[in-house]
Amino acid sequence: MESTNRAGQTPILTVRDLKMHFPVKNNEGLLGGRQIVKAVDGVDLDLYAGETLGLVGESGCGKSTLGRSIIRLTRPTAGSVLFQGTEMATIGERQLRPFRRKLQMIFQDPYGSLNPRQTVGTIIKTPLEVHGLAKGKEKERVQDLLARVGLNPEHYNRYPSEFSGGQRQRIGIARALAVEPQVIIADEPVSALDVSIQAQVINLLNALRRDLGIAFIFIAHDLGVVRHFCDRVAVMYLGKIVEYGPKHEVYERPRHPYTQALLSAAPDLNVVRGVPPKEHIRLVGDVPSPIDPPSGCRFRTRCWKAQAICAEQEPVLESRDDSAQDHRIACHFPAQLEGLTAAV
Amino acid sequence: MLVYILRRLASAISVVLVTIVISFGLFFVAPSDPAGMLCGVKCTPARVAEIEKSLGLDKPTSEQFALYMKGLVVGRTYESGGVTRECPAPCLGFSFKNDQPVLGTLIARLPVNLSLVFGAALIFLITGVTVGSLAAKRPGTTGDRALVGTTLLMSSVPYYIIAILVFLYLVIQVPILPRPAYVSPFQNPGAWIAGMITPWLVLGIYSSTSYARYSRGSMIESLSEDYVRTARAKGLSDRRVTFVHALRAAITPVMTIFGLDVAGLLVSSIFTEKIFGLQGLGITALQSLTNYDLPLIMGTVIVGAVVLVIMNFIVDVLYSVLDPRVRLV
Amino acid sequence: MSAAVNEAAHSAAHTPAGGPRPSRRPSHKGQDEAFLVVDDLSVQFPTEDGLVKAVQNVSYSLPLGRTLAIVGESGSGKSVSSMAIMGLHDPKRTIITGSISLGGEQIVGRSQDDMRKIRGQVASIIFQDPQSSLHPYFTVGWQLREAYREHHQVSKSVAHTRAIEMLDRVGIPHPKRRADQYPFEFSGGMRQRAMIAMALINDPQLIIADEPTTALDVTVQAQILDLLNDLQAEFGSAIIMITHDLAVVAEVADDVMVMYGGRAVEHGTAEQVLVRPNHPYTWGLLQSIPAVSSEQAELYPIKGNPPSLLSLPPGCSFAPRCPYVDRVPDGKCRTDLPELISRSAGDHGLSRCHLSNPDAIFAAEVEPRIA
Ligand SMILES: Nc1ncnc2c1ncn2[C@@H]1O[C@H](COP(=O)(O)OP(=O)(O)OP(=O)(O)O)[C@@H](O)[C@H]1O
Ligand SMILES: Nc1ncnc2c1ncn2[C@@H]1O[C@H](COP(=O)(O)OP(=O)(O)O)[C@@H](O)[C@H]1O
Ligand code: SF4
Ligand code: SF4
Ligand SMILES: [Mg+2]
Ligand SMILES: [Mg+2]
Repeated sequence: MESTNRAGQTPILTVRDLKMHFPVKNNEGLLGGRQIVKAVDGVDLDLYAGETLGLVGESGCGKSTLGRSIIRLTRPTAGSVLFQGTEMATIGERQLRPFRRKLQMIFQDPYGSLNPRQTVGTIIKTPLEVHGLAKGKEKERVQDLLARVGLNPEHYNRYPSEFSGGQRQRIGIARALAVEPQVIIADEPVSALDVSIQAQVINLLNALRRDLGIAFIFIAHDLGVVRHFCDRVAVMYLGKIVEYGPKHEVYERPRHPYTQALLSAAPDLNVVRGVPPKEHIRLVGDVPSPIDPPSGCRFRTRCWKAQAICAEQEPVLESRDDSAQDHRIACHFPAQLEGLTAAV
Repeated sequence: MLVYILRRLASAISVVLVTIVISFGLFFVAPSDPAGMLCGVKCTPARVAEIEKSLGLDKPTSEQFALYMKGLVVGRTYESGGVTRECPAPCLGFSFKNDQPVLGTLIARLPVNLSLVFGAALIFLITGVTVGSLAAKRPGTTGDRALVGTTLLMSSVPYYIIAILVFLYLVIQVPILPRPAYVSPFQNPGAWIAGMITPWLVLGIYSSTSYARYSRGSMIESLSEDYVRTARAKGLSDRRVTFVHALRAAITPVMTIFGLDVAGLLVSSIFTEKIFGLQGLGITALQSLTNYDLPLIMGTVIVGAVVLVIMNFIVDVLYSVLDPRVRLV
Repeated sequence: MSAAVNEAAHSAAHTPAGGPRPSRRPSHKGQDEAFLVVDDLSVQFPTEDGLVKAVQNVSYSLPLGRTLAIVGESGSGKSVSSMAIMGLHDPKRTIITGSISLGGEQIVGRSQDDMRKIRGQVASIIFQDPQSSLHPYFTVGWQLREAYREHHQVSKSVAHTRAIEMLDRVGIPHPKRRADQYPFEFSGGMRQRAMIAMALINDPQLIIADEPTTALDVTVQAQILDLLNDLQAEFGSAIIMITHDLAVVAEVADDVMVMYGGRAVEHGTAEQVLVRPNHPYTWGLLQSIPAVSSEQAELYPIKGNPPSLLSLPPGCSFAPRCPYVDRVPDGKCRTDLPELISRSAGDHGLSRCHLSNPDAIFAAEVEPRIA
């Protein structure tokens, strides 16, 4: 795939130092205090037209929050999101309107994200009407879309409850496609689906990307799916990106200890089919709270390579002399490790 | 925990204060003519003015309120017709109607409601929860259907009709049940029970059906919880699974309703009091309203607010004891 | 690691901290005498919509020290079949036929009182969601104590010591303090460890783990799978691992049974089933799952949706989705239920498919991913 060299291309979406902090209440003190959950705490990303960027990390590390603040489902606390040169993070709701249709989101839960009292036709037609698209020909357009996502155009008048999980996910995809978006943020779009259905949906997304040139930010916890679907990968830990680069680099030459641990922990079919991995890295404990993240490197409480400097200085996400130029790692000791996964 | 209690206390006091201000506004400022009512048919304007003066109603409202609050906090003295009367804090004043101290009147009536609630709540909580839990274990069986049917039937017949029927037939016509009357349990416990048993049974059994329904719903939910399955997988007996594991979780929401019900019954159980001829707070409140006896009205409102706030507090504490996740930091 | 003295780091037994750790892949152990023998087990639920045939004619045996993975999509009957071993189905609403023998004792048809002695003592189960499977209102120590005292006549303090010992064994730091805490004070991974401690407190010979890591993150999943593996090595218990994730199967299983629509469709050793599958469904699954360790150009999904257990098609239940129906003469797939038998020469498992030479057919397909 073409992703490695991006020289000269301008990204369609540029995220800089994006922060999303949530105030939460606690019960301490006479009046109760407020604490800040730093769900996303300074993220830089670039997304190029037509490419797919995978976002992986453990539960609660801020993947969904990042996705939601990029498309302004929540208003980010700080930072910038440039979409084709326009600052989206700070503009008002009204100026945002025209951009809403260019950036769409697909959700994990194919049950909760569709209104059970609306027909499939209405669900997909609504965004068309909101944005004044396909005037007078809405029904045809919806039926085209249904066919596009592999559903029967005759399903127009049915209700979501009459569909299986995989089919509902297709309806969600059709709704996102209706407004001809340029970027789709897919938040765990296959996690809730049965194994045999996942591949159907992944292939559908792949076809959309190929045929329509839509760029994806693909949030997932299944490292195999991300490796298959994405051009580049960003690994998140506690609200920050710790490793970021073309998927070949990240999967074959991971340099951040956390990425290495993730890859080593991921269950792998090839363990029976090929040569089992040489290294086994097991992290201890759990992810610390995003309310009061560790000083310096946030991963240091679980990192087996942590030194004094890791507690004092936050490592910068940058490429190294001996790494590919667009492979960035946020670690003071970013060494390569061999044999983390099975070899086929 | 201490901080939590202090915070709750602060909010409780402010609730009571707001209640006082609002009801003071409603009853004292709103156009009304208590002096005229007291004065009777053969009334002269001079006489009215005289009464107003003796009641303090001639003063500006703000001053009346200040005096009232002062009475509540430090007590005050009343002068009328040359007689000076001490009214120690918390002073709720004297009844317009019979000149008795309001606080004394209310305190004298509270035990009636306390007794009523004590017995009835014991009956409806225990029978309600037990019957509900048993029904929940076999939803859809004959016993369960009978329970659901009965509670539906009960909730469609108003409580006062049942109470009147019981009183007419089982107390008067065929005297199976003793005639209700309040005797202090400290004077004569036997007479106390005998005097209260009829309202206890009527109120207790009537309310137990709705408790059976709450507990049934709550139990059905908790019996299907994963942790109940875990309990069974440990090899525990059916009884232990139901009454330790499932009931423990099911009882918490029931307790919340229970707390509010008890609070409600404490300040007013008008039908029970009226039908069974017991002089409780509900009746007092009713009478004070018909007489436009302002101090008594204010008194019942304040006592009611205080009781509700206290019960709410108890429910909260109880809740945190029952559910460790609701931590009182 | 200056401030890195977070409590988890204390569990030295689980702190390979970058150091190499032996692979989890099992060596072929056990294999001799079967401890659990399930024979022709069927479980049906009469419901308002009709009879749900959740499990039909499932047979397998499992010796001590060995791990059987039962894999299949949701609703394929994995949990129902293993709940039958624990006798956890409501006898009034379930029809169970066939036989289950656990350490020589017959289980089907036993009274609830008899089953209580087996549950938690001879066989234990670990459920998917550790959040909801522990009682929220009792301390973890209380719940472990209760499990121990149910099967041992000991004092509270003896049981408490045992509970702390088990919490320590499953790698919970500060077990003494943790025993007095409530489940909500534990993280997801620690809760699952506590569940495992509770399941193992009476030294059961059979452990059923029903999707024990589905609700957990990969790094925690790896910890839990390692833990189960270590415990099995130590106590020699038989494990039934229920999962929908073939990659997890590859990591932990000695034997694999693939279920589809309530029936076992393929059954063999992990290598037989995952490397040389003989059933189109297994083959389809393998073709549709991207592995983390290899690049895959194309996924080949299985078309259609899983069947409804209320109206299974006659013949092979996979027929409506199977790309090979036409390769079987006389439309037999749609009329005759295939038997679960050996289908190809060579080292293959049993499969429930009419194809006479599935091995050769799959091998000739799109560039197979397998070496
Ligand atoms: N509205 C909110 N208020 C307070 N905290 C929040 C809010 N939304 C998210 N968080 C917190 O922010 C952090 C990141 O949440 P987010 O949902 O982005 O995680 P995620 O990476 O998508 O996780 P998952 O893999 O479980 O979906 C979590 O700690 C979460 O509890
Ligand atoms: N008590 C029950 N009554 C009716 N149907 C049930 C009951 N328990 C399970 N089933 C059905 O049996 C089938 C198999 O369930 P299960 O074994 O839990 O699937 P899984 O393979 O996902 O573990 C499902 O279709 C489920 O709906
Ligand atoms: S900066 Fe230090 S603590 Fe952080 S990942 Fe690198 S080595 Fe580990
Ligand atoms: S029996 Fe027929 S339909 Fe069933 S799996 Fe085999 S080939 Fe496919
Ligand atoms: Mg998320
Ligand atoms: Mg299951």
